[in-house]
Amino acid sequence: MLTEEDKDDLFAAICDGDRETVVSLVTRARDEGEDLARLVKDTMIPAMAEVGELFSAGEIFVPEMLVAARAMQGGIDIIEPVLAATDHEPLARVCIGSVKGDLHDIGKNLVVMMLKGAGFEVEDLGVDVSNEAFAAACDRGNSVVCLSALLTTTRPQMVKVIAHLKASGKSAKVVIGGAVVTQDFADIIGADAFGEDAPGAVRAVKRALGLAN
Amino acid sequence: MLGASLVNQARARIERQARYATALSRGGARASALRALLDRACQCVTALSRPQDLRIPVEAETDGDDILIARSVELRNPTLARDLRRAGRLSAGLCSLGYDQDAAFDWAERDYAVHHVQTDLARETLFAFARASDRAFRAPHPGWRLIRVPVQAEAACGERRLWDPAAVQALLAQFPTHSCPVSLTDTGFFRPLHTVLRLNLLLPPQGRR
Repeated sequence: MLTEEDKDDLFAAICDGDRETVVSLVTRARDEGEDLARLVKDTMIPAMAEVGELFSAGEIFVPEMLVAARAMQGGIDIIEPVLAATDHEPLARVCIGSVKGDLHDIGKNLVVMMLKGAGFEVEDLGVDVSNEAFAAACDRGNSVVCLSALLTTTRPQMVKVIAHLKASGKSAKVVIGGAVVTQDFADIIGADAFGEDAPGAVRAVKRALGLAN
Repeated sequence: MLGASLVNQARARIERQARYATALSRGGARASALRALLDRACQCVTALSRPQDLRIPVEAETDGDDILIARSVELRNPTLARDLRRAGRLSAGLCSLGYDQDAAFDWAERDYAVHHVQTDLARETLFAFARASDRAFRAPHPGWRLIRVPVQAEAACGERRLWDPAAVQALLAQFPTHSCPVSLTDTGFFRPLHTVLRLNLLLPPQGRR
């Protein structure tokens, strides 16, 4: 079993982007019968939350967040198959995509990494996603729809997605973000929350679900 | 194939950017992990690039401060109008790395971090490629200046000015269809994504401002 010191090392390894150490400690935890759901909840997710806070505070930059998220994913890849065999439930199921006509994926992908690091199950729908594909993702059990847009030419598509989801009776929460999106725009179009950056998107999803203020 | 020197030049630029430089200078596991991501990104850009470099002369008619480019793009630019009347030559340059993001994501085995760094590196590589193309275009004209001409849309809702997709489409249409490997979506995205189109004015020494 991992000692408290080992768990501190795991926390630090995620924050430092030390994937090798993360994989080594998580493998040991799995092999020794550690409660992996608890390890994720009490050690790994807080580590990524710390990374998100450091980013939001301007103390680290995107590349450091990337390597931390990648280290985290190294551990999750080991844990996921074990948890899948149990009745473990993710925090929530979230789908995400760049709206129809938008081909950029860099911001969306950062949000995917941070959402996974926060304990959400994420379905990445990719770029240039149709309204119908977002609605279909709701039918597959996603309770939050995250929309990304890079340009002013694709931002109006967010309005159409929300209208389509409403017209087709979907109750999923809608969170929006992207280079040209603001809180005012989110309020105007009736989105449930707005994420100003990748860690902000995680907070926005939690707010939309009533998991945070 | 893209020259390794362009990818290395792009990597060096990225490593000087604050967000990368800070992480690399802190050392430790983070810096090692980031270097490994940069290595993978370099391999990806080098492996996937099918560079295309096209340039065509573009017609321009002036009427006072107004300019009609390629009989389709209207600009109001007093300086450009004056320079065109002083024997400036207008051309459109198109550089593309020739691959799209989905190909890169697959190459990276859907590793989001590698893909992200690849995107940063591809953008810098594309700019290095375009700068090299511009230098080569200007080389036979010692003493001439090559000026980039922006073709921008009006500010939308007070936000930053962006290239006008309709104008970009009109310029792109000037390239011979049989040799142009690039298209533009209605929303203004190039396919392949890692593409840059620029309008350049080549100005003779006597025409300098």
